[in-house]
Amino acid sequence: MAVQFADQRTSEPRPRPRGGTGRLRRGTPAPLARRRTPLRMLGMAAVWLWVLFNLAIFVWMLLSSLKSDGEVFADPWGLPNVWRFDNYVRAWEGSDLGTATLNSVFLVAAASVFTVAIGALAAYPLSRLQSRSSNVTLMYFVLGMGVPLQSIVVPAYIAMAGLNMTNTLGGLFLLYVGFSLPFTVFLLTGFFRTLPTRLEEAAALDGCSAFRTFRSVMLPLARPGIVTALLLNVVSLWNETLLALIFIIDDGRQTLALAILGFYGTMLYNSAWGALFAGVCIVVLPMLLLYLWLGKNIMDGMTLGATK
Amino acid sequence: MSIDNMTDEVAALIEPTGVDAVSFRGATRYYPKSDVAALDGFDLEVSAGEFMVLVGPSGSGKSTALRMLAGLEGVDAGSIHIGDVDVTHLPPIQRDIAMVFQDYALYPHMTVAENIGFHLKVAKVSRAEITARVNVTAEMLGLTPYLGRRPAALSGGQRQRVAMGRAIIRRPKVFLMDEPLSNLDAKLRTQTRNEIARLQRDLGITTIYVTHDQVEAMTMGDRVAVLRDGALQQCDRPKRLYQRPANTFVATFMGTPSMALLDAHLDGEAAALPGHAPIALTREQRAALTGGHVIVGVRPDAVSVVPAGQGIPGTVEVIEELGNESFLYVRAELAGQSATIAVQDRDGVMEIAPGAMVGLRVSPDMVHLFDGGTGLRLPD
Repeated sequence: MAVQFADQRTSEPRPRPRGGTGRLRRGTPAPLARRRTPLRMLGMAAVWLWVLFNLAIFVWMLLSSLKSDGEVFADPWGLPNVWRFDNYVRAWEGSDLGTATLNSVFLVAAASVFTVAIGALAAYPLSRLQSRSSNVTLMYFVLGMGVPLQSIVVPAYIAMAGLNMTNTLGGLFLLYVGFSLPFTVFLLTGFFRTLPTRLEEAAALDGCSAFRTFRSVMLPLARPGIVTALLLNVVSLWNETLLALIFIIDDGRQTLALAILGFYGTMLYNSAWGALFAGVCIVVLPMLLLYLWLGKNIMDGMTLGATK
Repeated sequence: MSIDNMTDEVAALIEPTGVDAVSFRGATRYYPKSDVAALDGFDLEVSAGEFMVLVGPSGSGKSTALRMLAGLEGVDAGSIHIGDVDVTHLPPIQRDIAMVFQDYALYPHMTVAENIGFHLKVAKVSRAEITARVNVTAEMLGLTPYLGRRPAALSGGQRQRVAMGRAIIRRPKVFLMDEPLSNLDAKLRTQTRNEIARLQRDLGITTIYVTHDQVEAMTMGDRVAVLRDGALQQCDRPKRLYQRPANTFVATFMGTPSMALLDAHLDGEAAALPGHAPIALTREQRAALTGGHVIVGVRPDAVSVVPAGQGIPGTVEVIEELGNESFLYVRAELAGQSATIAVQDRDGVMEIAPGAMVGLRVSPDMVHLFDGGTGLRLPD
């Protein structure tokens, strides 16, 4: 027979609230939050304008990608007379986007995962150690964020040439990881710092080594931060063009961003506007879907219920 | 389920593998960048199977002592022993202890079952044994319906029991509890208090329990150690602490309402309280005095109210009605010093309103006497 604990008793069904009459209103904001100051109204207006602007661009791009070449400019905001889905076929086949997409998917996935994996391994100790050397190390990473990419392209090219890694996806992978690490370490260090140290003490008492604590306790808790870092890396590397343009020469090793750039030149010459917009959609849509899918994941409050 | 009505087989899954004594020997801890010891030369012997409560105000070093014993805090001087083993420099896992944290520190991404069984999983116990032991522990704590839930989906009381389960399942030599009830509401706290005391008796595991709540200390502990500013003040059975506090700090810390302390001076062979009959001192008491001052400690049950004009004059400030009993807080003026004295209203019939003038009479055989200089108790 189990003991009946006080908080275990089955409770009565909750009665309807008695306060007020008529329709029940829920979630009335606190009086402080409800105040509509001119500044707040202005801010709201600015935010909505920005949202509408972006939506309009997106709709325009999507509609244009389904129109005939002439219609794109003749009737920019109207629906297509004939839905030209073959624009996508033209774009896909016209510039070998298939190979470029595969290259981008593998390169971006590998570089992002690897960056976040070693970034997390660096960020966790940096978030916990209080020594002077760990602060210096973190500062070193933070400084890396301030270096403009363009300014180190030449030394990077010389270094990669010395390693015989120019014009290879492996070389681009190394560059992507190197350039993405500072921000990733910075982001994850901040995130690990928000996690309660009490759980590490509990893990130590449960017999976890430092690495086991990291793997079994802190890493699962850091999931929202890890997903955020992964997502931000994927988006920025997916769109990365400069390094790919400089380091990749062979068509077979092009990334998607590079292929679209080449495609842009060709289509401009042919006035194949519909296909060009279709190509842009092929680049943009995967990231958009990724955001829609994982954006909610970021909101997940995993530390809820950890304490108290 | 209590251990008594379990089958031997089931009981074997949760019964402790052994109990050990704990001893602090001059244990000292300085926090980084601080010149003041958080715990200073702490000596304490906890015998095997004992329920020891460490109590004191915040900053008294009680939690530090517990964390040092757990291995979560370093030891700057002295040593700590569990059984015959010097654990001073051992990592937590080699100390065979389990701890319940104030905020429970449950792993939020694990279910109740995973939380309870995590230590066994880390220790590479077979999955079948983990399941069996988790089930028995959950049954004992009434957690069986919640095994698949995450901590976020539990009430405060349930989370507290998961934290207990995580400790119990390990069958440790020593239980450490760091204010495990402070996040519960008052009613649940009282019930859980009794529950923990019963579990400890059933399991017989040496337990060290930290609290700032003197009611918890008095009701739960076999013995209570009172700390202040990193130093042990007194360690004794709860009743002895109340009846024979070693100094004025313990005297005022234990007992509600607090003991009132009145300054008296030595006048011949007695302590003279202004406006009151002298309180006679024994020869030993007089010999133990370091100066001419005596502190007279008065608990609410050692004072009675008499009509104004008799005894020590005072003004009623507050009347505290607790239902089953009531207390008067009387502001007494004694030749230059004023003190608030709590008085137990034994008959409950006193028709006195705040602001009323009354007299107080102290029962000389029920007072506590302390040295005016050191604050130490004078021999009885």
